[in-house]
Amino acid sequence: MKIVRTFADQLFAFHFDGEKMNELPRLLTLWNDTEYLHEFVTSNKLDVPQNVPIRTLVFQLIDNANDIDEALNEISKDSERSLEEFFKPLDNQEYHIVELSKQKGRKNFLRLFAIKIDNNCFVITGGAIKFHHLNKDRTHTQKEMQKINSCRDYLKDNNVFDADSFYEFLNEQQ
Amino acid sequence: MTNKEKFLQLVSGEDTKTLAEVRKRIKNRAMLRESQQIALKVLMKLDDLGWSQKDLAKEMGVSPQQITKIVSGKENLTIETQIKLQNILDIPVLASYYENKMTEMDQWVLNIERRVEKLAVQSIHISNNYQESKIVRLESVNYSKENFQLQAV
Repeated sequence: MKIVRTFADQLFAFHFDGEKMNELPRLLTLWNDTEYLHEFVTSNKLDVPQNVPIRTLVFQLIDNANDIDEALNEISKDSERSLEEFFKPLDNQEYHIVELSKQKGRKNFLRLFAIKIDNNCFVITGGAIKFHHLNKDRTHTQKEMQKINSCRDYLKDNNVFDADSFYEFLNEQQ
Repeated sequence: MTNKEKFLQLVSGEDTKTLAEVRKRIKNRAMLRESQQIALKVLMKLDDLGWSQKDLAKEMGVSPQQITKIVSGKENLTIETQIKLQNILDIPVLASYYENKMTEMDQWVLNIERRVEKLAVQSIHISNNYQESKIVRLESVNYSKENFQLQAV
């Protein structure tokens, strides 16, 4: 695995071995793919909100993906804005500063998972479509939790504890 | 020099591809929405028909890869492709679908009116000849759309 920069010195993403793209474009591509979304919704019928037609749900997911596009575009263009407004701690009970905090960027049913390196500095580890269930209750979200944990371990193993050590680690990767 | 400064000196640029794609999607949102709506109609119709994408490719005379692109909802579809999808799958893609359906429906209503008029005339005739007729046998009339199309007056 390697880490790539998406914009400025704020947003980075893991690029896993065997994947054509790093996690951010990989997920955005999937979430804008009608066939993928239709397949996902029909094969996860148990989690789908009741009485909502498949068509409506697919377009809700597309709208959520559009919202993520908008948020990233706005933040990337406006130096006054920060990724801090998009990412929140994955653990809703996390009220104190946590080293390499696990984060989620949420737009309704879509989640981008990331690790916070420093203020306004995040590295994306993956993402998921999450209806009304807990992350631990479905295979696809369980996998994402494993990914974020292994990415966190990877950073720790490479002595990344804060922004400076993270950039030092990236320098070593060059 | 801090680690961060060292890092930034080494970075030659942003991963502009991802952001460029994001901006392209925002710019083309209206076109993409139409494409996504068509893609979903196609996918749902294929499910209804029990057809694979390969079946549709064969019917349309295009490659399966072309169908993959269509159902991804990212393609700027040509009018020709839209007409093919509309005619082969009988799904509303273009305004002409509804216009054709309306014309068909108008013709159907017209045929019913003519048929009813004819029956009324027959009924008067039967009524006038009632004294002479011991038994009057009325044919059962099938009011289905197909029947009227076949027996257009």
